[in-house]
Amino acid sequence: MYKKIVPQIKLETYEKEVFEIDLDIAKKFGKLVPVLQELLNDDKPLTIKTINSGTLKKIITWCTYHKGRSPPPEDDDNRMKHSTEEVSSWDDKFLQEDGQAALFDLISAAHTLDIDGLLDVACKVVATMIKGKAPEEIRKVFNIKNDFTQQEEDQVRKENDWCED
Amino acid sequence: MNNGKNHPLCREIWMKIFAHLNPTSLVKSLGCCKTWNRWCMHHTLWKTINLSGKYIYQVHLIGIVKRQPSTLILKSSKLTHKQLAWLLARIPQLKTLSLSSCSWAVVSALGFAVCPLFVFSDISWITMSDEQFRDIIRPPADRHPGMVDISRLHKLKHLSVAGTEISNTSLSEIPNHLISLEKLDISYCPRMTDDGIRQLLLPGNSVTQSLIALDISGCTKITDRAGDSFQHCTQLQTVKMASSPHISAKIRKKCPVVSFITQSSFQIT
Repeated sequence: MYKKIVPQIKLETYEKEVFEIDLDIAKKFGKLVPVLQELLNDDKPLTIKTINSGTLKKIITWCTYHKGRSPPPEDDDNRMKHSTEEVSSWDDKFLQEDGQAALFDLISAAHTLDIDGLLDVACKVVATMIKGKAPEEIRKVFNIKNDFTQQEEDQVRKENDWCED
Repeated sequence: MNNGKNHPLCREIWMKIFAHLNPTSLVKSLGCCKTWNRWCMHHTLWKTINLSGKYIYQVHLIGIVKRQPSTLILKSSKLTHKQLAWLLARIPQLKTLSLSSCSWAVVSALGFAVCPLFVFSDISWITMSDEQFRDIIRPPADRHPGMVDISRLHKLKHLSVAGTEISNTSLSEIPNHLISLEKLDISYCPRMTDDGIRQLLLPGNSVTQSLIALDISGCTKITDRAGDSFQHCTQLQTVKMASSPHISAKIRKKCPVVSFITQSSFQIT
């Protein structure tokens, strides 16, 4: 009896931890696609300093869960939709369970590695954190400093409240 | 946000997040800080602005120009000719405009040289005569030197003039100016007859080659004879003809490749 050999590539994180990633998962990392063959032949891991181990673990878990689940067809109409209904409860829980800092790390990493599906769903989750909130509440959620004077803030409101639904 | 430099997420990612927000949430977001204020005004987030039925004031006009939408819906909006003319001169890449149920005085602003090159236009349910329609679709009289002598609507693909007073005269003018037309809605224009359809769809007209869909619902004077004209079309796929008492099943036999759509209220025999 011999074990089926799954081709793997090696990635090294910020903490210098080396991960072995199955090829069919690595294929989802758009940034790596052009160099996949090279990485397969190379025994030396590729170092990605901007991604930490916890985040890479999350990415692998997400990609493994979504393997074989095809993403919904992406057309212009879909992109234009303002709804966030498409976020599954699994995704919602998975992306939010470690807090905002971890979610932001995950989004940055998905952006760096060019993982479209993950980036898209994570952005939707952040969008739901904005929806239905007043500016003051949004500032609190994302720790944004209000650099408007009271006068400017009133002006902004006056100039823009017409386009609310 | 300090220009987003010290924030874990870059501008590109925030823009992806903002893309999932509706206008209300975008307005709240642009009130958060100066950086978001700039980012949330980006035209990619405001592709469509819908001010249907609203009274339009200066604050709207400035806001629209700052946002540079590609689709603007002013259905039944209360605005003036001067306001629309001012606006059209300042949103050059506007592709879709709906002025449905506005007054002719407003819609006439479409006849000027500064008008954007529309692709979709809805000027339905307005009181508009043949002469007025001609003023819109003819090359503008105020064109400046060097401007090509061509209709500002020559790129138009979809046009709705439903419920207007125009007649066969306008249909015969269309092929001369609207050379890219794919979808035409002339429903509930009761003055249209078979002869108008014939002049619209003469074998040599470019419209005859480009037209894909036509709505003649409620054009009570149009009969089965229009089918002869449809036969000249090379792309025509659908003809909507609800409430057309003089069109029978014979028309289907004349044009087997075209699908004719009727509403349940009217049964074809």
